[in-house]
Amino acid sequence: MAELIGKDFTPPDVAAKVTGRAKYAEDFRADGMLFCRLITSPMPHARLRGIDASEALAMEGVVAILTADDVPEIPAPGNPILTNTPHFVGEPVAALAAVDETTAQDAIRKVKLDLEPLPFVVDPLESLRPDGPNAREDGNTVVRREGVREIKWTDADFAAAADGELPMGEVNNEWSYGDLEAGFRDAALVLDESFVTAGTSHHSMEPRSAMAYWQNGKCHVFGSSQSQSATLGSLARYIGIDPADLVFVAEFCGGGFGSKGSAYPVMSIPAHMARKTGRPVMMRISRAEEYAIGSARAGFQGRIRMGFTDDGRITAVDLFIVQENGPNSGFGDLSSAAGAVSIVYTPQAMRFRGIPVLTNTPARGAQRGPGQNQIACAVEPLLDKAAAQLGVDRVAIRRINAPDSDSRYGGNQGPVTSAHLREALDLGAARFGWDGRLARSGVRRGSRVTGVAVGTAFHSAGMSGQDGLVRIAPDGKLHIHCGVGNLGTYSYAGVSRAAAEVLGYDWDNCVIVRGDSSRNLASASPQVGSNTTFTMTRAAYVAAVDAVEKLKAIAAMELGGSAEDYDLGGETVFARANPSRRISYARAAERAVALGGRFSGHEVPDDLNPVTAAAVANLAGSGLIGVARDNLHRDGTVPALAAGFIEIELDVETGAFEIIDYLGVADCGTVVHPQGLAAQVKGGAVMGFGMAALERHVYDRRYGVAGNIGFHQAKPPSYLDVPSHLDWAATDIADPQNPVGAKGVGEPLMGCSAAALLCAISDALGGHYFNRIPVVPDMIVNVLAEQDQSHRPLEVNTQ
Amino acid sequence: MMNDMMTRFELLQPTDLSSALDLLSRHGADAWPLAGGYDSFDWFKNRGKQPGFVIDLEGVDELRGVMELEGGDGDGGGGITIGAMTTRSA
Repeated sequence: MAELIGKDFTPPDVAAKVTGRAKYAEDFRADGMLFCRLITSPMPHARLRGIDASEALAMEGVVAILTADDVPEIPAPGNPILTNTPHFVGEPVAALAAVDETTAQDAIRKVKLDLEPLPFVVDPLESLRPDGPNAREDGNTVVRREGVREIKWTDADFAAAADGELPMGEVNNEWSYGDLEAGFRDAALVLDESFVTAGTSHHSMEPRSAMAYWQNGKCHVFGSSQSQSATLGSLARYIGIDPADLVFVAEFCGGGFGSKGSAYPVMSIPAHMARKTGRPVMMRISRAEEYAIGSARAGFQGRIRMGFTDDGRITAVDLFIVQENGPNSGFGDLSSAAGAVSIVYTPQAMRFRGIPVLTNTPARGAQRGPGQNQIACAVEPLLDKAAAQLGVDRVAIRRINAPDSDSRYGGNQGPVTSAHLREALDLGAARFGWDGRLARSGVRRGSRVTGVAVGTAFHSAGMSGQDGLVRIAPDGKLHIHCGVGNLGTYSYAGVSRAAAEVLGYDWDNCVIVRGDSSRNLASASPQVGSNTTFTMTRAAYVAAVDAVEKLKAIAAMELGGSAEDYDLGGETVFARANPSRRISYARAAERAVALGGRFSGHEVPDDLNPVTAAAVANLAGSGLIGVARDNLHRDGTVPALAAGFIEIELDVETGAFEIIDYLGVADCGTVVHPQGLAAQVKGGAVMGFGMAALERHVYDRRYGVAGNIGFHQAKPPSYLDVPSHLDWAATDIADPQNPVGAKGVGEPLMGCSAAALLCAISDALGGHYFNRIPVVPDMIVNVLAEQDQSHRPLEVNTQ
Repeated sequence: MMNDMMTRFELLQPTDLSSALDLLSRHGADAWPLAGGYDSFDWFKNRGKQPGFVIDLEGVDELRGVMELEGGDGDGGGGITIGAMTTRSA
């Protein structure tokens, strides 16, 4: 029976957050510190022929300018640190340091950029036309690990598509399984829809500010990061040093949502400027700058054909995605979207084709459920359309297609560790009172119509092969040297409790050591892709098991018999046959120090990550060391699945809606931290509501300039937009490939809520399928008034 | 481009209308009257406006409220004045 896993607790960083003592990157100061500001491109695509900073550098208080020639060149099309060929408005071309920010900005006004404008494009379909512009000089698409290529579609490709239908030409991503044509032939109903999903900014509340200085040959960086140990390698590469010469402090992070998963190039700018000036440098990033350099979700222009039997089972899916990729390597949203379709709906046959197309809009990266959540928004309302035409209940059509633990994932149809979406749907339908609420669907009171809906989503949620490191100090306390970043989910604390659980520790006697790479932290996965809870409970577990084995060995040496004769309890090791023969953890730690060797960390397994090996070397001799690499069995994708249930009231006069009730249900294996999970279900839901109905990129086609660069122009939902009570539940069914039964789940909790809200809006409108997200009030009003929409069907980056 | 970095200015906070008008006329084109700031601060940040003196009208009570014009009969028939600093909520 678990003492800690599945129980609420107060994570140790909460007090600092609520009292304001928490130090984020921009709260750090150092003597003699300079401030640097970015000099950014005013053009969407240009060649920087020269910079004249002479007048600026002559100003009092101005210290230095840093250009692309001063920093390592990142191989194209990776995101550059600074560039002489900017590919979007707001891309940094240089940085200027001065004694304060106002002086720096005053000086930047005097810097003359000699820019040669180059052709640009903000809509993928425009770039795919035979004579369309390319976002980069060497092409308009990117092939993973190969680079930039050019692909143009033919006039015939475009002519073959009917009005409002996505044309389909040459692609560079493709897979299939099963007999697609047979699937469509056997189908009782085939739906074919084109759709658009908007690009969206990450909206991290904390912009990506950073401070850096050099001391005794080491570079100290204070950054905003989702991850801790996993950030070291990439940040050291951007700075151009060995990871061993980097001290990285990231105690708190004000949101990343994928945009701060590992180091990002601009994080290294203060380090380069500090090296150039010999002084500490702070770079505070503004909200407007964050819109340009803070990453963004890729948009889709897609088309999907789905075949259904008369009871709603999906026989075949043919999916085609054009991904608005930004100008650089971007992220694999399109293939992740296809993978999600394969597992959430388990079609008997499926084909995926897709192409990322480069655009002169901000560089794209992973955003919570990258690909999976866009496709949930496109497919889930379509599933409802099929359900209506077939006369099948909307929960039932999801249930009949839902995966179980024998289902297969993706183009190669690999195995999964556990999948319980059907249980999540059943649990949710019962708790939400689905059947009863359906009676209110479409009922109008005054100008308000009720919509009731369900949505589902997926993300993979686990990796393996990381290290765990724990230390029992001679005072008996357990120090968990945790390399997990503090991205705001408290997963660093949740996974640490797996080690305490194994050792039977009172949580009050545990110390989580974290947030600063000089504090001897273990390697860790990056805090991305909903993986942390699965991946790092495994690592914590194996480290604790190593400590248990050493504790028992020491007890046997001290008290006689063999290690197998001993058990753990009350932070002591005792002989099962005679529990009065016992040795405290504190005493055992003292003995470990005296014994040395593997007990004290002087000898370690040879398969440890170098980060962990270096940490143990520093800790050696300070207690009983438990350290190990996670070599536990893992076979297959770890699926996180989620279902959202919603009731809304939509005003048919204004197009505004009110969310009346929401329930999110997680299939995340065993629940590790109920309050933490509740925050994920609810926070994910709120973010999903924004994706469905509020947020989108707007880029001017003529100038390539952003139309929204502030919270009030690209509004994410706030607590004023959602009910004060959002409900949550979890299947709480253990995953067999995790020692505490846990899986991650952060990402699909957003996709299921976005899908549910879109389906509810459609439900309130009698089943209208919008072919586009976000669904904003004027689109709703146009449908009700039977008017044309103000956007063209496949247009992206529109108002 | 949004620089998100205001230029330096002196903040003046008059507490009555005549002081506000006096400050506005004294600083002329170098003065900027500030009401809620929703637009002003964006203009300051992108440096489209670079006033030397910002005159904050928050403390000028005479500009606040809905007032009936003189000569009316109490039912608003003579017309009303809505003060420039009147908020929607109060």
